[in-house]
Amino acid sequence: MRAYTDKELGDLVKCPKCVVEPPLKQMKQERGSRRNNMTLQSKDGEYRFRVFIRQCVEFEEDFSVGLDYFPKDEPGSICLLRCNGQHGANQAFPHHAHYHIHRAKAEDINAGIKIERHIEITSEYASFRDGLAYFLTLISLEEVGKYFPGLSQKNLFLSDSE
Amino acid sequence: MKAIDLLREQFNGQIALVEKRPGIQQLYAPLYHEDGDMMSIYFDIAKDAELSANSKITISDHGLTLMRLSYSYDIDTPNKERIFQKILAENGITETDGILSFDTTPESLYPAILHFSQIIAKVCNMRQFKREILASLFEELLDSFIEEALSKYNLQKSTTPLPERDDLEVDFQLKPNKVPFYLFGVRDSAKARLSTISCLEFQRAKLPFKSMVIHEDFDKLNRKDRLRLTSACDKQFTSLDDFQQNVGSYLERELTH
Repeated sequence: MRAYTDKELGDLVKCPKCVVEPPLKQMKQERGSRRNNMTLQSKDGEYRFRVFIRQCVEFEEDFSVGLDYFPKDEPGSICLLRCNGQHGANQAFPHHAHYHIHRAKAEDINAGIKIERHIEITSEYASFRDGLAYFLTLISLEEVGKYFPGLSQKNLFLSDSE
Repeated sequence: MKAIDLLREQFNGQIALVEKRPGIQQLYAPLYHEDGDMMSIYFDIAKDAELSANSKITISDHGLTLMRLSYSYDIDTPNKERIFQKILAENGITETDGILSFDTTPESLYPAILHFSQIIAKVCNMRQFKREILASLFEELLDSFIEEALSKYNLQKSTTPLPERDDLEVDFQLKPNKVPFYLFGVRDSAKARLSTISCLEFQRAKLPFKSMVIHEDFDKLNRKDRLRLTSACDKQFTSLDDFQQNVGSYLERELTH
Protein backbone atom coordinates (compact mmCIF):
# COMPACT_ATOMS: atom_id res chain seq x y z
CA MET A 1 0.00 0.00 0.00
CA ARG A 2 1.27 3.46 -0.84
CA ALA A 3 2.08 5.96 1.89
CA TYR A 4 -0.06 9.08 2.28
CA THR A 5 0.56 12.46 3.82
CA ASP A 6 -2.01 14.48 5.73
CA LYS A 7 -1.82 17.11 3.01
CA GLU A 8 -2.76 14.53 0.38
CA LEU A 9 -5.72 13.38 2.46
CA GLY A 10 -6.77 16.99 2.96
CA ASP A 11 -6.50 17.62 -0.78
CA LEU A 12 -8.65 14.58 -1.48
CA VAL A 13 -11.31 15.93 0.87
CA LYS A 14 -11.44 19.40 -0.62
CA CYS A 15 -10.80 18.77 -4.32
CA PRO A 16 -13.79 19.84 -6.46
CA LYS A 17 -16.13 16.93 -7.05
CA CYS A 18 -19.07 16.10 -9.26
CA VAL A 19 -21.79 13.49 -8.91
CA VAL A 20 -21.50 10.22 -10.83
CA GLU A 21 -24.38 8.33 -9.22
CA PRO A 22 -26.84 10.74 -7.63
CA PRO A 23 -28.43 10.31 -4.23
CA LEU A 24 -32.05 9.24 -3.88
CA LYS A 25 -34.45 12.17 -3.88
CA GLN A 26 -35.62 11.09 -0.43
CA MET A 27 -33.67 9.20 2.16
CA LYS A 28 -34.60 5.56 2.41
CA GLN A 29 -35.71 4.39 5.84
CA GLU A 30 -34.20 1.04 6.72
CA ARG A 31 -33.77 -0.72 10.03
CA GLY A 32 -33.89 2.24 12.34
CA SER A 33 -32.11 4.82 10.23
CA ARG A 34 -32.63 6.98 7.17
CA ARG A 35 -30.03 6.30 4.52
CA ASN A 36 -28.74 7.76 1.30
CA ASN A 37 -25.58 7.34 -0.76
CA MET A 38 -24.01 8.90 -3.80
CA THR A 39 -20.93 8.25 -5.90
CA LEU A 40 -18.64 11.12 -6.80
CA GLN A 41 -15.50 11.71 -8.76
CA SER A 42 -13.03 14.52 -8.66
CA LYS A 43 -13.67 17.10 -11.33
CA ASP A 44 -10.47 16.09 -13.10
CA GLY A 45 -11.72 12.49 -13.18
CA GLU A 46 -8.72 11.19 -11.24
CA TYR A 47 -10.34 10.12 -7.98
CA ARG A 48 -13.48 8.22 -7.03
CA PHE A 49 -15.50 8.74 -3.85
CA ARG A 50 -18.67 7.61 -2.11
CA VAL A 51 -20.74 9.71 0.25
CA PHE A 52 -22.95 8.03 2.82
CA ILE A 53 -25.65 9.92 4.69
CA ARG A 54 -27.26 8.37 7.75
CA GLN A 55 -29.70 9.70 10.32
CA CYS A 56 -31.23 7.85 13.25
CA VAL A 57 -35.02 7.66 12.94
CA GLU A 58 -35.66 8.01 16.68
CA PHE A 59 -33.01 10.61 17.46
CA GLU A 60 -32.71 13.08 14.59
CA GLU A 61 -29.69 14.74 16.15
CA ASP A 62 -27.79 11.47 15.75
CA PHE A 63 -26.40 11.38 12.22
CA SER A 64 -23.27 10.79 10.25
CA VAL A 65 -22.30 12.04 6.80
CA GLY A 66 -19.08 10.54 5.49
CA LEU A 67 -16.71 10.60 2.54
CA ASP A 68 -15.09 7.34 1.41
CA TYR A 69 -12.18 7.46 -1.02
CA PHE A 70 -11.51 4.51 -3.35
CA PRO A 71 -7.82 4.38 -4.32
CA LYS A 72 -7.27 3.15 -7.87
CA ASP A 73 -4.41 0.87 -7.05
CA GLU A 74 -5.73 -0.75 -3.85
CA PRO A 75 -8.80 -2.73 -2.91
CA GLY A 76 -11.35 -1.21 -0.58
CA SER A 77 -11.86 2.33 0.58
CA ILE A 78 -10.67 4.85 3.15
CA CYS A 79 -13.17 6.97 5.07
CA LEU A 80 -11.53 10.39 4.97
CA LEU A 81 -14.11 12.42 6.86
CA ARG A 82 -17.31 12.04 8.82
CA CYS A 83 -19.46 14.87 10.11
CA ASN A 84 -21.29 13.47 13.09
CA GLY A 85 -24.26 14.52 15.11
CA GLN A 86 -24.71 14.69 18.82
CA HIS A 87 -24.98 10.98 19.48
CA GLY A 88 -23.07 10.95 22.73
CA ALA A 89 -19.61 11.24 24.10
CA ASN A 90 -16.34 10.09 22.60
CA GLN A 91 -12.88 9.24 23.82
CA ALA A 92 -11.59 12.76 23.29
CA PHE A 93 -14.55 14.31 25.11
CA PRO A 94 -15.97 11.59 27.34
CA HIS A 95 -18.45 13.51 29.44
CA HIS A 96 -20.63 15.44 27.00
CA ALA A 97 -22.29 15.01 23.64
CA HIS A 98 -20.99 17.33 20.95
CA TYR A 99 -21.43 17.71 17.23
CA HIS A 100 -18.09 16.51 15.99
CA ILE A 101 -15.99 15.59 12.96
CA HIS A 102 -13.93 12.45 12.44
CA ARG A 103 -10.92 12.60 10.14
CA ALA A 104 -8.50 9.97 8.89
CA LYS A 105 -4.84 10.65 9.55
CA ALA A 106 -2.01 9.63 7.27
CA GLU A 107 -0.06 8.11 10.14
CA ASP A 108 -2.92 5.70 10.84
CA ILE A 109 -3.59 4.78 7.22
CA ASN A 110 0.09 4.18 6.52
CA ALA A 111 0.12 1.84 9.51
CA GLY A 112 -2.82 -0.10 8.07
CA ILE A 113 -5.39 1.42 10.44
CA LYS A 114 -8.21 2.56 8.18
CA ILE A 115 -10.21 4.17 10.96
CA GLU A 116 -11.08 7.86 11.05
CA ARG A 117 -10.32 8.24 14.72
CA HIS A 118 -9.11 11.82 14.91
CA ILE A 119 -12.01 13.72 16.48
CA GLU A 120 -12.60 17.43 16.63
CA ILE A 121 -15.60 19.20 18.12
CA THR A 122 -17.37 21.61 15.83
CA SER A 123 -19.72 24.52 16.24
CA GLU A 124 -20.16 24.85 12.48
CA TYR A 125 -23.50 23.05 12.58
CA ALA A 126 -26.14 22.09 15.10
CA SER A 127 -28.61 20.03 13.10
CA PHE A 128 -28.66 17.34 10.43
CA ARG A 129 -29.40 19.76 7.59
CA ASP A 130 -26.69 22.18 8.62
CA GLY A 131 -24.29 19.29 9.11
CA LEU A 132 -25.03 17.96 5.63
CA ALA A 133 -24.66 21.42 4.11
CA TYR A 134 -21.37 21.96 5.93
CA PHE A 135 -20.08 18.56 4.83
CA LEU A 136 -20.95 19.29 1.18
CA THR A 137 -19.06 22.56 1.45
CA LEU A 138 -16.04 20.82 2.98
CA ILE A 139 -15.85 18.32 0.14
CA SER A 140 -16.42 20.98 -2.57
CA LEU A 141 -19.35 19.25 -4.23
CA GLU A 142 -20.58 21.02 -7.32
CA GLU A 143 -24.25 21.50 -8.21
CA VAL A 144 -25.41 20.89 -4.63
CA GLY A 145 -28.76 22.54 -5.37
CA LYS A 146 -29.44 20.06 -8.16
CA TYR A 147 -29.12 17.03 -5.89
CA PHE A 148 -30.22 18.56 -2.58
CA PRO A 149 -32.89 21.09 -3.54
CA GLY A 150 -33.73 23.41 -0.68
CA LEU A 151 -30.49 22.73 1.10
CA SER A 152 -28.76 26.06 1.05
CA GLN A 153 -25.18 25.89 2.18
CA LYS A 154 -25.49 29.39 3.60
CA ASN A 155 -28.94 29.21 5.11
CA LEU A 156 -28.74 28.24 8.75
CA PHE A 157 -32.37 28.99 9.43
CA LEU A 158 -33.99 25.95 7.83
CA SER A 159 -35.46 23.57 10.36
CA ASP A 160 -34.93 19.83 10.07
CA SER A 161 -38.59 19.31 9.27
CA GLU A 162 -38.51 21.57 6.20
CA MET B 1 -6.58 -0.87 47.94
CA LYS B 2 -7.50 -4.15 46.35
CA ALA B 3 -7.70 -4.39 42.58
CA ILE B 4 -11.41 -5.11 42.74
CA ASP B 5 -12.01 -2.00 44.84
CA LEU B 6 -9.93 0.06 42.47
CA LEU B 7 -11.84 -1.26 39.51
CA ARG B 8 -15.19 -0.65 41.15
CA GLU B 9 -14.23 2.87 42.03
CA GLN B 10 -12.83 3.68 38.61
CA PHE B 11 -15.78 2.26 36.70
CA ASN B 12 -18.31 3.88 38.94
CA GLY B 13 -16.61 7.20 38.60
CA GLN B 14 -16.94 7.12 34.85
CA ILE B 15 -20.58 6.19 34.52
CA ALA B 16 -23.44 8.59 34.06
CA LEU B 17 -27.00 8.48 32.83
CA VAL B 18 -28.20 11.38 30.71
CA GLU B 19 -31.82 11.78 29.71
CA LYS B 20 -31.99 11.47 25.92
CA ARG B 21 -35.79 11.63 25.71
CA PRO B 22 -38.46 11.28 28.39
CA GLY B 23 -38.29 7.62 29.42
CA ILE B 24 -34.97 7.01 27.68
CA GLN B 25 -31.69 7.37 29.57
CA GLN B 26 -28.38 7.28 27.68
CA LEU B 27 -25.47 5.52 29.36
CA TYR B 28 -22.15 7.34 29.44
CA ALA B 29 -19.52 4.71 30.18
CA PRO B 30 -15.97 4.04 28.99
CA LEU B 31 -17.15 1.67 26.26
CA TYR B 32 -15.89 2.91 22.91
CA HIS B 33 -15.83 2.02 19.23
CA GLU B 34 -12.50 1.94 17.39
CA ASP B 35 -13.06 5.45 16.03
CA GLY B 36 -13.39 6.86 19.55
CA ASP B 37 -17.16 7.24 19.62
CA MET B 38 -18.87 6.01 22.73
CA MET B 39 -21.16 3.03 22.24
CA SER B 40 -24.81 3.99 22.09
CA ILE B 41 -26.52 2.23 24.98
CA TYR B 42 -29.84 3.33 26.43
CA PHE B 43 -32.03 2.27 29.32
CA ASP B 44 -35.70 2.59 28.56
CA ILE B 45 -36.69 3.78 32.04
CA ALA B 46 -37.93 7.04 33.49
CA LYS B 47 -35.40 9.47 34.90
CA ASP B 48 -34.67 8.73 38.57
CA ALA B 49 -36.99 5.72 38.44
CA GLU B 50 -37.11 3.72 41.65
CA LEU B 51 -36.27 0.17 40.74
CA SER B 52 -37.46 -2.85 42.68
CA ALA B 53 -35.74 -6.22 42.44
CA ASN B 54 -38.41 -7.41 40.01
CA SER B 55 -38.34 -4.35 37.76
CA LYS B 56 -37.68 -4.95 34.11
CA ILE B 57 -35.14 -2.73 32.38
CA THR B 58 -34.88 -2.74 28.61
CA ILE B 59 -31.39 -2.05 27.32
CA SER B 60 -31.45 -0.79 23.74
CA ASP B 61 -29.33 0.85 21.07
CA HIS B 62 -32.30 2.61 19.39
CA GLY B 63 -31.02 1.63 15.95
CA LEU B 64 -27.59 3.20 16.19
CA THR B 65 -25.57 -0.02 15.89
CA LEU B 66 -26.99 -0.98 12.49
CA MET B 67 -26.79 2.64 11.41
CA ARG B 68 -23.09 2.64 12.25
CA LEU B 69 -22.54 -0.67 10.46
CA SER B 70 -24.24 0.72 7.37
CA TYR B 71 -21.53 3.39 6.95
CA SER B 72 -19.39 0.71 5.37
CA TYR B 73 -21.35 -2.54 5.24
CA ASP B 74 -24.89 -3.49 4.28
CA ILE B 75 -26.74 -6.57 5.45
CA ASP B 76 -28.18 -7.08 2.00
CA THR B 77 -27.93 -10.78 1.25
CA PRO B 78 -29.55 -13.85 2.85
CA ASN B 79 -26.14 -15.06 3.96
CA LYS B 80 -25.26 -11.79 5.71
CA GLU B 81 -28.70 -11.75 7.30
CA ARG B 82 -28.20 -15.30 8.52
CA ILE B 83 -24.89 -14.37 10.18
CA PHE B 84 -26.46 -11.28 11.75
CA GLN B 85 -29.43 -13.24 13.11
CA LYS B 86 -27.05 -15.90 14.42
CA ILE B 87 -25.13 -13.30 16.42
CA LEU B 88 -28.39 -12.01 17.90
CA ALA B 89 -29.83 -15.46 18.65
CA GLU B 90 -26.66 -16.75 20.28
CA ASN B 91 -26.61 -13.73 22.56
CA GLY B 92 -30.30 -13.44 23.40
CA ILE B 93 -30.80 -10.11 21.65
CA THR B 94 -34.04 -9.00 20.00
CA GLU B 95 -34.16 -6.89 16.85
CA THR B 96 -37.21 -4.80 16.05
CA ASP B 97 -36.98 -2.56 12.97
CA GLY B 98 -33.24 -2.33 13.38
CA ILE B 99 -33.32 -1.62 17.10
CA LEU B 100 -31.34 -4.09 19.19
CA SER B 101 -32.54 -4.66 22.73
CA PHE B 102 -32.80 -7.06 25.58
CA ASP B 103 -34.39 -7.08 29.00
CA THR B 104 -32.58 -7.35 32.28
CA THR B 105 -33.15 -6.77 35.99
CA PRO B 106 -31.61 -4.18 38.31
CA GLU B 107 -29.33 -6.68 40.02
CA SER B 108 -27.95 -7.82 36.64
CA LEU B 109 -27.45 -4.38 35.22
CA TYR B 110 -23.66 -4.37 35.31
CA PRO B 111 -23.09 -7.68 33.48
CA ALA B 112 -25.95 -6.76 31.16
CA ILE B 113 -24.18 -3.57 30.08
CA LEU B 114 -20.97 -5.46 29.39
CA HIS B 115 -22.88 -8.14 27.52
CA PHE B 116 -24.73 -5.59 25.39
CA SER B 117 -21.53 -3.73 24.56
CA GLN B 118 -20.05 -7.00 23.32
CA ILE B 119 -23.02 -7.52 21.01
CA ILE B 120 -22.64 -4.00 19.64
CA ALA B 121 -18.98 -4.74 18.93
CA LYS B 122 -19.79 -8.08 17.30
CA VAL B 123 -22.42 -6.57 15.02
CA CYS B 124 -20.18 -3.64 14.10
CA ASN B 125 -17.37 -6.09 13.35
CA MET B 126 -19.46 -7.61 10.58
CA ARG B 127 -17.71 -4.98 8.46
CA GLN B 128 -14.75 -7.34 8.56
CA PHE B 129 -16.74 -9.47 6.12
CA LYS B 130 -16.29 -6.80 3.48
CA ARG B 131 -15.37 -8.25 0.13
CA GLU B 132 -11.91 -6.75 -0.04
CA ILE B 133 -11.03 -8.21 3.35
CA LEU B 134 -12.45 -11.65 2.61
CA ALA B 135 -10.90 -11.60 -0.86
CA SER B 136 -7.51 -11.84 0.78
CA LEU B 137 -8.68 -15.16 2.22
CA PHE B 138 -9.95 -16.55 -1.09
CA GLU B 139 -6.78 -18.42 -2.04
CA GLU B 140 -6.42 -19.85 1.47
CA LEU B 141 -10.03 -21.02 1.58
CA LEU B 142 -9.79 -22.51 -1.91
CA ASP B 143 -6.53 -24.20 -1.05
CA SER B 144 -7.81 -25.78 2.13
CA PHE B 145 -11.06 -26.97 0.52
CA ILE B 146 -9.27 -28.59 -2.43
CA GLU B 147 -6.76 -30.31 -0.19
CA GLU B 148 -9.52 -31.61 2.03
CA ALA B 149 -12.12 -32.61 -0.54
CA LEU B 150 -10.24 -33.39 -3.74
CA SER B 151 -6.93 -34.93 -2.73
CA LYS B 152 -8.30 -38.36 -3.70
CA TYR B 153 -8.01 -37.28 -7.35
CA ASN B 154 -4.19 -37.30 -7.43
CA LEU B 155 -3.96 -33.66 -6.44
CA GLN B 156 -0.87 -31.67 -7.40
CA LYS B 157 -0.37 -28.01 -6.56
CA SER B 158 1.34 -25.41 -8.73
CA THR B 159 2.22 -27.40 -11.82
CA THR B 160 3.60 -26.22 -15.16
CA PRO B 161 2.14 -28.44 -17.89
CA LEU B 162 4.51 -26.96 -20.48
CA PRO B 163 7.99 -27.33 -18.93
CA GLU B 164 9.45 -24.68 -21.24
CA ARG B 165 6.76 -22.18 -20.16
CA ASP B 166 7.16 -21.76 -16.41
CA ASP B 167 5.17 -18.54 -16.67
CA LEU B 168 2.02 -20.59 -17.36
CA GLU B 169 1.27 -22.16 -14.05
CA VAL B 170 -1.76 -24.19 -13.03
CA ASP B 171 -2.89 -23.68 -9.43
CA PHE B 172 -4.06 -27.27 -8.95
CA GLN B 173 -4.01 -30.37 -11.10
CA LEU B 174 -6.41 -33.27 -10.56
CA LYS B 175 -5.76 -36.52 -12.40
CA PRO B 176 -8.56 -38.97 -11.70
CA ASN B 177 -7.87 -40.77 -15.00
CA LYS B 178 -5.80 -40.15 -18.09
CA VAL B 179 -7.02 -36.60 -18.76
CA PRO B 180 -5.95 -34.10 -16.11
CA PHE B 181 -8.11 -31.26 -14.85
CA TYR B 182 -6.32 -27.93 -14.51
CA LEU B 183 -7.82 -25.66 -11.85
CA PHE B 184 -7.38 -21.90 -11.71
CA GLY B 185 -8.50 -19.73 -8.79
CA VAL B 186 -9.50 -16.31 -10.14
CA ARG B 187 -10.09 -13.26 -7.96
CA ASP B 188 -9.26 -10.38 -10.30
CA SER B 189 -8.83 -9.34 -13.92
CA ALA B 190 -5.08 -10.01 -13.98
CA LYS B 191 -5.59 -13.62 -12.93
CA ALA B 192 -8.51 -14.01 -15.33
CA ARG B 193 -6.29 -12.92 -18.21
CA LEU B 194 -3.42 -15.18 -17.17
CA SER B 195 -5.81 -18.13 -16.88
CA THR B 196 -7.23 -17.38 -20.33
CA ILE B 197 -3.75 -17.22 -21.86
CA SER B 198 -2.73 -20.42 -20.10
CA CYS B 199 -5.76 -22.34 -21.36
CA LEU B 200 -5.23 -21.11 -24.91
CA GLU B 201 -1.51 -21.95 -24.86
CA PHE B 202 -2.20 -25.43 -23.50
CA GLN B 203 -4.76 -25.93 -26.26
CA ARG B 204 -2.30 -24.67 -28.88
CA ALA B 205 0.25 -27.20 -27.60
CA LYS B 206 -2.47 -29.86 -27.99
CA LEU B 207 -2.21 -30.99 -24.38
CA PRO B 208 -4.99 -33.34 -23.31
CA PHE B 209 -6.71 -31.58 -20.39
CA LYS B 210 -9.88 -30.05 -19.10
CA SER B 211 -9.82 -26.66 -17.42
CA MET B 212 -11.80 -25.48 -14.42
CA VAL B 213 -11.97 -21.91 -13.17
CA ILE B 214 -13.10 -21.06 -9.67
CA HIS B 215 -14.08 -17.41 -9.35
CA GLU B 216 -13.94 -15.42 -6.17
CA ASP B 217 -16.80 -13.37 -7.65
CA PHE B 218 -17.77 -13.87 -11.28
CA ASP B 219 -19.79 -10.64 -11.36
CA LYS B 220 -16.82 -8.59 -10.27
CA LEU B 221 -14.92 -9.25 -13.51
CA ASN B 222 -15.52 -6.90 -16.37
CA ARG B 223 -17.48 -8.15 -19.36
CA LYS B 224 -14.52 -8.59 -21.71
CA ASP B 225 -12.54 -10.64 -19.21
CA ARG B 226 -15.59 -12.83 -18.61
CA LEU B 227 -16.11 -13.35 -22.34
CA ARG B 228 -12.48 -14.28 -23.00
CA LEU B 229 -12.31 -16.70 -20.11
CA THR B 230 -15.67 -18.28 -20.90
CA SER B 231 -14.50 -18.89 -24.44
CA ALA B 232 -11.16 -20.39 -23.39
CA CYS B 233 -11.99 -22.66 -20.45
CA ASP B 234 -14.16 -25.74 -20.10
CA LYS B 235 -15.94 -25.18 -16.80
CA GLN B 236 -16.41 -22.24 -14.46
CA PHE B 237 -17.70 -21.99 -10.91
CA THR B 238 -19.02 -18.52 -10.21
CA SER B 239 -17.97 -18.44 -6.56
CA LEU B 240 -16.19 -20.47 -3.94
CA ASP B 241 -19.59 -21.49 -2.55
CA ASP B 242 -20.64 -22.73 -5.98
CA PHE B 243 -17.40 -24.69 -6.28
CA GLN B 244 -17.70 -26.25 -2.84
CA GLN B 245 -21.28 -27.31 -3.43
CA ASN B 246 -21.00 -28.59 -6.98
CA VAL B 247 -17.50 -29.73 -7.85
CA GLY B 248 -18.10 -33.23 -6.45
CA SER B 249 -21.11 -33.95 -8.64
CA TYR B 250 -19.45 -32.28 -11.61
CA LEU B 251 -16.42 -34.56 -11.38
CA GLU B 252 -18.64 -37.59 -10.94
CA ARG B 253 -20.52 -36.73 -14.10
CA GLU B 254 -17.31 -36.12 -16.00
CA LEU B 255 -15.78 -39.37 -14.88
CA THR B 256 -18.76 -41.52 -15.86
CA HIS B 257 -18.40 -40.50 -19.52
